[in-house]
Amino acid sequence: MKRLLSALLPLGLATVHAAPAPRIAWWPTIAQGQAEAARSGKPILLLSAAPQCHNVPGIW
Amino acid sequence: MDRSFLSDATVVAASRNYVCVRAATYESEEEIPFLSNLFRGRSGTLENTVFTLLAPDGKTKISRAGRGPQMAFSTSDNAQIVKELDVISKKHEVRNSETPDRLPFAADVRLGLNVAACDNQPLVICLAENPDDLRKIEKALAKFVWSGKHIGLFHYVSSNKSGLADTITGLTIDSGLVIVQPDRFGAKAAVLVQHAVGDSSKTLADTLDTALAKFDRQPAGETRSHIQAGHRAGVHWETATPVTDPGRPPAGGGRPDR
Repeated sequence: MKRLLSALLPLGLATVHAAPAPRIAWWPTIAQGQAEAARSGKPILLLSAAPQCHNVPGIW
Repeated sequence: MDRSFLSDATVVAASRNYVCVRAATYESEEEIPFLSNLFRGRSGTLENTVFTLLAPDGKTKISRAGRGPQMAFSTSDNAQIVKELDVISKKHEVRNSETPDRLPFAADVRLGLNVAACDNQPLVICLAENPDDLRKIEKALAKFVWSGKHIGLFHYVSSNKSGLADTITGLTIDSGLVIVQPDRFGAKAAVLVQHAVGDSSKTLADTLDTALAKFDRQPAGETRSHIQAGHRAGVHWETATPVTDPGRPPAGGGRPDR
């Protein structure tokens, strides 16, 4: 299958979109997560990260 | 923190048994004391990243805290961390297994665009002129947000049209869904697809699928080159609260402390 795909890519089929891989579904604020945990009874996986580096946005 | 951890398929699967919260450090005055109480680095201050697990009461720590999961679980073995996540989640009985009817709205469009750019994902803007209309849109969309094939693939924010004039190009509708592609820095965005309220020519699922198909996923960038490109482009992000991570460069520029 890999060989077939490799052969097809130069023919312009690289634009075919693969389905994105599954990702974590995040709540973006602690308050929203706490409300959902209280409703559902699920524990919280909490991460906090800065969405900027040296004041340049667009990168964790 | 190892960012690849969060996209590991086994970690994503384990995450479904948790309410997953990813706060934006230094972007909320209210969250700073809470995060600082959970974990401070050697400097004694809140650092860029915090990770821990909390009980459903939203306050009680049920794991160690650290800068990332590897520190919290004292291992860099993803399989071991996933095992721990599964063991801990099974100790908690789910009271309500219905998916939420709320959307994970970012605080505002500026932050939503930034975070979507960080994750290299589209941003869904729920466009409404009043809270009642927004709630209708939110309820209609929620079933796609928390289950099925679209889970975790978008970011979300609400706004009215006037709030988008300076940042979004290609917007033509007044209310409904607007899905945009953020630029590299999340400063501006272009419309991928829009779905006006009352438009019965397509389903919401079709609209989400169209956005994913049109989205131009950028190759993963290297941090240093991203920062250099940002500085060259004159991009500057002002945080809502002071950055207290000791890795921050000193005032006036120069090399960071570490």
